[in-house]
Amino acid sequence: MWKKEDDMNQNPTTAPASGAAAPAKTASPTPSHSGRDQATIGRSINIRGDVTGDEDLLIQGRIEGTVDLKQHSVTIGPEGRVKADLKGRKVTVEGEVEGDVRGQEQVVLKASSTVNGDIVAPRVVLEDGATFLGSIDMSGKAPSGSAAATQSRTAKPTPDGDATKSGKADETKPGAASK
Amino acid sequence: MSWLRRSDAPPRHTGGKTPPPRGDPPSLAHGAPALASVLEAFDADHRVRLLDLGPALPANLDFFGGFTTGVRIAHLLRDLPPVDPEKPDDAPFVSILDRLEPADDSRFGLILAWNTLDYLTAERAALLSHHLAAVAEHGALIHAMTFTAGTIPASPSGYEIVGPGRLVYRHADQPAIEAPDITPADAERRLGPFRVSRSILLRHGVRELIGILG
Repeated sequence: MWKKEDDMNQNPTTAPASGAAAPAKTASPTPSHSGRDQATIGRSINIRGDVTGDEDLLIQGRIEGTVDLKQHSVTIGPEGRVKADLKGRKVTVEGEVEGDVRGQEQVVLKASSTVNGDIVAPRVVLEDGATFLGSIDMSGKAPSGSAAATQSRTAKPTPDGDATKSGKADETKPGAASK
Repeated sequence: MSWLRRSDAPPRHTGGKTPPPRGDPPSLAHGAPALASVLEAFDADHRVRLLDLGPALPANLDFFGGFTTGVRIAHLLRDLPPVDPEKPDDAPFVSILDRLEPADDSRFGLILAWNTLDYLTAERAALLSHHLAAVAEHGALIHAMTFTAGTIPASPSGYEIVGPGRLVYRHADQPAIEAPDITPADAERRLGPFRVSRSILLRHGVRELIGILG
């Protein structure tokens, strides 16, 4: 997907391609929007390996491997390119992700994002313009008031008077597809 | 509509040439009464797994989130390869059908094919339907919309649900091609393992179809 070898040669900060934890924190912690410390992987940084940590993370560079920050927020910035499975408390994607994304609380795909993989989270927010291919599983416990749950529960089907001609009688009984 | 003409409109575009866009609003809203009746069966306590053959659209995800245990977005028409008569097995098309595979062992209970049939040949539609049957549960429903008259955008766009029985087809203003005019009998053949249980011709020449598996 990306010119991995070229990038690695040009960036001495690239982590080794081992399974060991990669140096996710490449800059001094800065307060995130939530007031928590947030590490940043800068745009010139390439990492191959597993990224773990105990603070929020903003990814503007490139990662190939895994990113596991279960208790913290992970943000793939607009310039971030990730070819990895991602785990976080809240995962926000503005750049590109090729891999599965799991959010303990929610996953947000911003309008600029491109995601190719499966998403598992109790709440998934998809902004208009986001490009997504894959599965979305929200079967976990959705927080009350989530966008998906609230809108769907309040929407009640009503017959529409738009039909001008019926080609066949209605043979489909509601619930025909029930499990 | 720039791509949807009524019966009193000028003669249809034919011959593969594309007429210039006409600057009308780039969307079409219409009812979907069959879908509304299907959705009556679903609520937070009775959910199915959904396969959406269209693009990922926020409104659809929000709406169907409460009806489903999971949603798979296939966006099948995004990378549709051109038909190659020298490749009867249509391997390029078959390869993108891999997107239909569910993420786990579960099978789909509801399939949305809102403008898919309009952009597939009869052979490809039948191929798709057989793949769908392999990943759907017994009794699964497929809901399709197809244009029977006028023109459609040359490149597929996305349907958006704005209510249980209301859809909006949004598209960029672009050249148009002739609508495929799939009859109920054609649809029956294209949907293969899915038996067409309901066919409604709506205003604007849009046909709404419900197919049931098994």
